[in-house]
Amino acid sequence: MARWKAGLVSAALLLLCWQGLCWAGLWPRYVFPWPADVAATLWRLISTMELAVALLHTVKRIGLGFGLSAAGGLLLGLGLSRSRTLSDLLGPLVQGLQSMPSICWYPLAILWFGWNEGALLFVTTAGALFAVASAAESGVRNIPPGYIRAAATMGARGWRLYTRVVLPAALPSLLTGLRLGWSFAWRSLMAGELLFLNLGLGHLLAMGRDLGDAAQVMAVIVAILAVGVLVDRACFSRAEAAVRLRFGFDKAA
Amino acid sequence: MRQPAVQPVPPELTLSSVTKHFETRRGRMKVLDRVSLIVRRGEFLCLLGPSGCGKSTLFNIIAGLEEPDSGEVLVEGEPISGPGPDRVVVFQDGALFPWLTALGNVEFGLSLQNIPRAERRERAMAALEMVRLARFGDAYIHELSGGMRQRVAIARALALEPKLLLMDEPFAALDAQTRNLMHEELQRIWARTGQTIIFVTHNVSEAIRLGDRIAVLSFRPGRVRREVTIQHPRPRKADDPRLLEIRTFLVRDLRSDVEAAVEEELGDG
Ligand SMILES: Nc1ncnc2c1ncn2[C@@H]1O[C@H](COP(=O)(O)OP(=O)(O)OP(=O)(O)O)[C@@H](O)[C@H]1O
Ligand SMILES: [Mg+2]
Repeated sequence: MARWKAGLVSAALLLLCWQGLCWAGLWPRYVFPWPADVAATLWRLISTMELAVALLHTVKRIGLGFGLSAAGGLLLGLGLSRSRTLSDLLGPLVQGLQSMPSICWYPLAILWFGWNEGALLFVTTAGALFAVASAAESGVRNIPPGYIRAAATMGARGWRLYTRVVLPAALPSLLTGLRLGWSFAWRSLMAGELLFLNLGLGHLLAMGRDLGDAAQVMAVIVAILAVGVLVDRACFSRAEAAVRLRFGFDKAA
Repeated sequence: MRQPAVQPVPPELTLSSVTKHFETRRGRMKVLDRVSLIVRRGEFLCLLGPSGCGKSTLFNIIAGLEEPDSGEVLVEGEPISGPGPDRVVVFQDGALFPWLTALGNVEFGLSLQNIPRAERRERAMAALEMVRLARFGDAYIHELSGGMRQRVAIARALALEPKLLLMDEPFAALDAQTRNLMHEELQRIWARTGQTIIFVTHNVSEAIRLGDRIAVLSFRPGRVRREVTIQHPRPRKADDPRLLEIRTFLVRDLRSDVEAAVEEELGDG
């Protein structure tokens, strides 16, 4: 509750500063729109369903891209943690690819797939996959060996050792990896939608620029921000808080 | 009165000439040297030895977590193959799973044996009751004190009704007061269940208080140097004067062994 209030206060402060700058008249209103203009544009985008359609496309893409990279990244990471040889062979590659800014994948993606959904999906997935994989690998590697030994003496082996001990023990790192992966995927997708002019939030943003409509650009930025914050709060923060509570991570702090 | 025909029952555990080396940067180090030991069913054996003499290594071998270089480990006359729920270890730090509740931890091993839910719950609750933690079944591990955690770890092992309960310095990290309580609890549990227990410690008082028999391991390489049987009735108090004599003897014995080993090492270097 207190955090909600703090959030409201900081939003109000931001609005006040913004409005103050507008009143100061430093820039013309069509370059630096008033909060009211942005609100009106946002309302227009909502009432004409433009925002909803864009959101629908974006959510579909991010869902698919993030889903693929989460599943693929977890599998790859577990594979790497399982086999020394595999990790020696692919580990450096994964580390390298992880540090690559995902927007750099676009030229290749366009050559391979053309200007279409496939290219978007490729880059969204590639941007997150390796981050998830490397977090999963180190998460599994850093499980206290005592857990594995204890489970083994109680009769856990093979598949069940994995599902009942390895995965839950690595859960905190897996979650961190997924959260990181999500933010990578989200960034790559927005970059792609800006480039592609092909529906989605990024497309609305680019359209605002082409029309010289700063209010629309800002309105869409607000929408993108909202989606990012919402997903982080609703999914990742909540899951992490639950895990921290259960594992007792908050106790020492 | 006629004696019933006695079937020769193989001992619960037989170690014969178990030898183990570790490769270190300074060459091959012999950690266990022809350790032979027999543990009868229902016996409470304490393995006593100075720190670093190979007690945990021997335990890992019995548990099947490590292979000996030579020698045999038999449980009820059968050679072991890998770790299994007939030999459950209670580790020094408990190694409880933080993502499960106390009850979840105790149920863990049972669920691996595909025991139906209702029976699993019943047996887990019985084990928790045994360590007097029935009220804390739904607590997460970090919500429990150190002593409570070790009790959960013991319950987790007891629930599986293993042939051998292996305890590796389970109370070493507890304060003296709590440890004293745990000794009382463990004696009570042992009297009630008749569970065969091997208990590792480097603490002479602990070994004397708990064990029917104490096997003393020598320092580097580890070898069973001495076996002492303690017939003193239970429950034993921590400060029982009748145990003092044997205590003094064992303390002196351990010290001379460690001193000799250290001197040898210094002489080498
Ligand atoms: N995996 C290993 N590789 C190399 N050396 C090892 C390994 N495990 C144990 N050792 C060595 O073997 C010796 C015995 O170790 P162990 O842990 O069995 O001793 P311990 O009797 O349990 O000691 P403590 O009472 O301190 O727990 C030690 O000198 C240790 O350094
Ligand atoms: Mg040890």
